[in-house]
Amino acid sequence: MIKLLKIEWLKIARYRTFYIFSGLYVLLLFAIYYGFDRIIHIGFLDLSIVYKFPNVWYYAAYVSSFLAPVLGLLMINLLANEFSFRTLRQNVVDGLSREQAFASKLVLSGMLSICAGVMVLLTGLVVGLIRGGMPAGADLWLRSEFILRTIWQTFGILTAALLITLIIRRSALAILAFLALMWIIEPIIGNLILKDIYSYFPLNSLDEFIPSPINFDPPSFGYHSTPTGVMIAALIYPFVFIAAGFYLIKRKDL
Amino acid sequence: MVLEVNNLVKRYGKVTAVNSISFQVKPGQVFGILGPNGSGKTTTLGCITGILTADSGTFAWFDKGDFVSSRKKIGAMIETPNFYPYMSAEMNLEIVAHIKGTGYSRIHDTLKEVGLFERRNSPFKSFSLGMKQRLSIGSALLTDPEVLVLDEPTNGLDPQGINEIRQLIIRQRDRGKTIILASHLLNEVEKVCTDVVILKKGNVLKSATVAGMLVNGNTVEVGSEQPEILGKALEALGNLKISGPKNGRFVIELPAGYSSSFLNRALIEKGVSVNHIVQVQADLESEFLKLIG
Repeated sequence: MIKLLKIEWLKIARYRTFYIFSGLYVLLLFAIYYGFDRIIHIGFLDLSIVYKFPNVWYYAAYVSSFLAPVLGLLMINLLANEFSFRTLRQNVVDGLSREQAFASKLVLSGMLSICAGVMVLLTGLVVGLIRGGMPAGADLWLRSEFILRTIWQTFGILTAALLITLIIRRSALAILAFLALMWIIEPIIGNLILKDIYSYFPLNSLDEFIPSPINFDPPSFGYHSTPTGVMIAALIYPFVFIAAGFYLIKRKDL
Repeated sequence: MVLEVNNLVKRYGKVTAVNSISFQVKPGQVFGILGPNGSGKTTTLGCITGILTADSGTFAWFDKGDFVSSRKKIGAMIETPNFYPYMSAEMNLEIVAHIKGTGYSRIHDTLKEVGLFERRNSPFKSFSLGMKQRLSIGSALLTDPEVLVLDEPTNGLDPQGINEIRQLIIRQRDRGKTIILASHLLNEVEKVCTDVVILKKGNVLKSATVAGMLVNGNTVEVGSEQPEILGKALEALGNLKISGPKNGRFVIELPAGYSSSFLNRALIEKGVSVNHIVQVQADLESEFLKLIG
C-alpha cells in the first residue's frame, strides 16, 4: 500500500492540475466558511452560532460537502489521464497487477479524503477562533465526528468518480456524467418519481451523510441528525463502488 | 522455457484477432513474431503482458509464473511509448523503477544506453517520436531483465534511428538475453532473430528457425556473354532444373550437396566461361510473401 501511494505521489507531485484543484478546495473551504453568515442570509436568524465551538466542526464539514465534487473532478482527471496517456496499461506492462493499478487510485482517494478531514479540522479551528472567539467549556469536541464524516463522505464521492471514469474512460464525458448524475439525474428521479427512497440514492445519501442545517418543515436552522437508514446506505455505497471497480478492471481490456 | 503460449484466442466483437495461437520461447532465443498489420502481433503481446484479457487459451512465463510475479525478469514495450507527458524522462523512469520494485541506481546508465542522458530532464512531451521510442526501450531495459518484449521497436524511426535500435537489440542478444520481437519488417526479423513465427489474420502460418527458412534451396544464378552456348552447356550437364535465360542469366536448382563451385568447374571443363555465378540466398521476404500471398 505504501508502495502504491509512493507511485501515485510521484505522478501527482509534478502535476499542476493537482495543485490547482486541491488548492481550490482548501481556498474555497476557508473562504465560504469564513463568509458563511453573509452568504446564507436569512433575516431573522442569528448565524453567529456557526462560528461557536463545538459547532465549527459541523459547519466546516457542511461547507466541505459542497466542495467534495471538486476533489471528485480531480480524481476523474487523474484516472482519465491514465487512460488517455495509456499509462495505466504501461503500469500493468511494467508489472502492476490490474487490481494494484485500481487499488493505487483508491489509496490516493483515501489519502485525499483524510487530507479533506484535516482541512475541515484546521478551517473549523482557525475560522472558529477568528470569528467565534475562544472555546468555552469542555465540550470542544462534541461535534468532531463530522471530521470523520467528511473523510468518509469525500471517500465515497471519490470512489463514485473512479467508478464512473472506469466505465467511461474519457475525461470530459466522465465529468459530464458525474455532474449530471449528482445535480440532474438523481434529483429529477428522486424528487419526481421515487420520492420515498430519494434519501437512499447513492450520491444523495452521501450528501445527507452530513445533513443540511437548513430545515423547512418546521423552518429552523441548526444541526439535526441523519436518519439511521440513510447513514447505513452512505456507509455501504463506497464498498459497492469499489467492488464494481475491481470487477471492471479485472475483466476489461486496458 | 521462458514463455509458453497455448491456444490463445482473443476476439473483439465478431472479429477474431488471435485465433488459437501457440508457440514456445526458449532461453536465449531472439523470437520474431512476424506478420502484416492486423495479423494479431500486438494483440498476442497484449495478452501475455496482462493488458488484454484472452477469451481462451493459456500462457505461462518461466514455466508457471504469471506476468506480475516475473516483472523484474521481463522488460516490455507494447505498441506506443506510454509515459506521463508532463514529467521528464528521468522522473518517468523513477515511476517504472517503483513499479518494478528496484532502486534508481540504473536509471542514468539506462538513459545513457538509449542515448537520452543529455535530455533526461526534458519533459516527455517535448521528445521527438524517435526519442519517445528510445525511452520506451530504455524503460524495458531498466531492470536489466532476462527477457525483452519489444513490439515494433523501430516503428516511426528514421534510418539512423532504426539502425541505432537494431544495434541496441543486437547488443542485448549478444549478452544472452531472450528477446521477443514483433515486427512487420522482414529485414528486421531477418537481421536479429533466431526464430520466427509468421502470423496472418490471427493464425500461425509457419514456425521455424530463421536459418532454416533462409537455407531452403540450393539455387545458383549463372550468366555469360554468350547465353546460347551457356544454355546448351547447362542442358548437357544433365538432370538440372533450369529456368531462363533472363537478361542473359539462368537460374539453376542444384541437387543437394552440390555448390556453385561445382557448377563453375563443370562449365570450364566444357569450355564455357561465365561472367556471373552467384549462390542465391533465399530471403525471408520471398518466403514471407509466398506464405501470406
